[in-house]
Amino acid sequence: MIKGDNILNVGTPAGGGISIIANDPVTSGGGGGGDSPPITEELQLYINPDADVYSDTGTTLAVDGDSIRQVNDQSGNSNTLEQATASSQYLYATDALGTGNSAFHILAYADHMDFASTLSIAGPDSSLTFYCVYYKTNSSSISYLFGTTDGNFNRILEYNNFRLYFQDDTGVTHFATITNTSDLAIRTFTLDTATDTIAVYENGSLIDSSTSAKTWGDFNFDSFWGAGFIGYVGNVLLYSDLHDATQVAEVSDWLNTKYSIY
Amino acid sequence: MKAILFTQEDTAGFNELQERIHLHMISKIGVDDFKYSGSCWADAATAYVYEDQLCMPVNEYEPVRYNYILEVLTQQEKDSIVDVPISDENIE
Repeated sequence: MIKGDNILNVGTPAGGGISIIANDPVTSGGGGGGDSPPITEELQLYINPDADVYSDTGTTLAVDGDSIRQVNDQSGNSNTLEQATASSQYLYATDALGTGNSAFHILAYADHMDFASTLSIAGPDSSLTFYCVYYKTNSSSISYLFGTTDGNFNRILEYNNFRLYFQDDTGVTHFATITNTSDLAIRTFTLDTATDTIAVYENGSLIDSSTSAKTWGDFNFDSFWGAGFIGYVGNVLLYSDLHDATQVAEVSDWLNTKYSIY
Repeated sequence: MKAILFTQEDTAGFNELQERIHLHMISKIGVDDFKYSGSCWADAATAYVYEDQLCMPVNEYEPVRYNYILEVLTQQEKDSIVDVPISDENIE
């Protein structure tokens, strides 16, 4: 059970004492776009800066200005994010995205978080859908959104604030165009591995898509959001399947109930 | 970002300084509600490399931490702090 879980049951087990069972974080609670995404099938990762962000290893909730040591995944899959190297920790910023919404404030090139265990998605068999609420305050050439700790391939990244790339372990890239990421937006990036098509949505609307023949390898994500990105990051959700335009609109609208961007 | 640079061979020097910073940060936990939860300040194995040199960030954008770092640096080390530009890796 993690701090912030809803309690499903409290009882007395046969061995004595008290047992407390946590409810599934993504299927409980709700409201405000903070707790329960409208689509939970194949949800691999749900990071919410307003829930379970810690200044230490899972005991002390972060407050404004704290360095972030650990962030708990709200998807129920325990894809915990951590950063033990102090000089690479994000800062926690409250009231940073819209009204009353917290964010990860990324201030330096070395800032990033690592997955406690590699988040693996079988590329040839699974497509990807990636929702993120963010804006950049710099215009760096490359930002790694999901990457590997050694900085090599197998990653999702943006380039020059105007392109979104999917890249597998061969290093071959496939991109689509996004509008300037210095603007706060709800962005959705989809990769259809069956048709080799990337689509980019902003605030629920399709912006661009491209198709390029490619053989996709597995995605083994070790690191989260860094390497050149300076700015603010809000909710992030990663699914291991393809969302169509209707589903993208549904999840984007849900996020917008929290962020009021459009 | 501001950083102190080490040759890639000088991991001992890198580690000595990062440990000095790390231990000083630990000693300050609780002082004026200061929080610190790292297991190290920096890691040579994952450090950003700029012009073949290891970068140790000094996090000048965090005033409290930056002041504590300055407290443990020699004048020579303070004078060696440089601005390191973000690389322009080409992925095209």
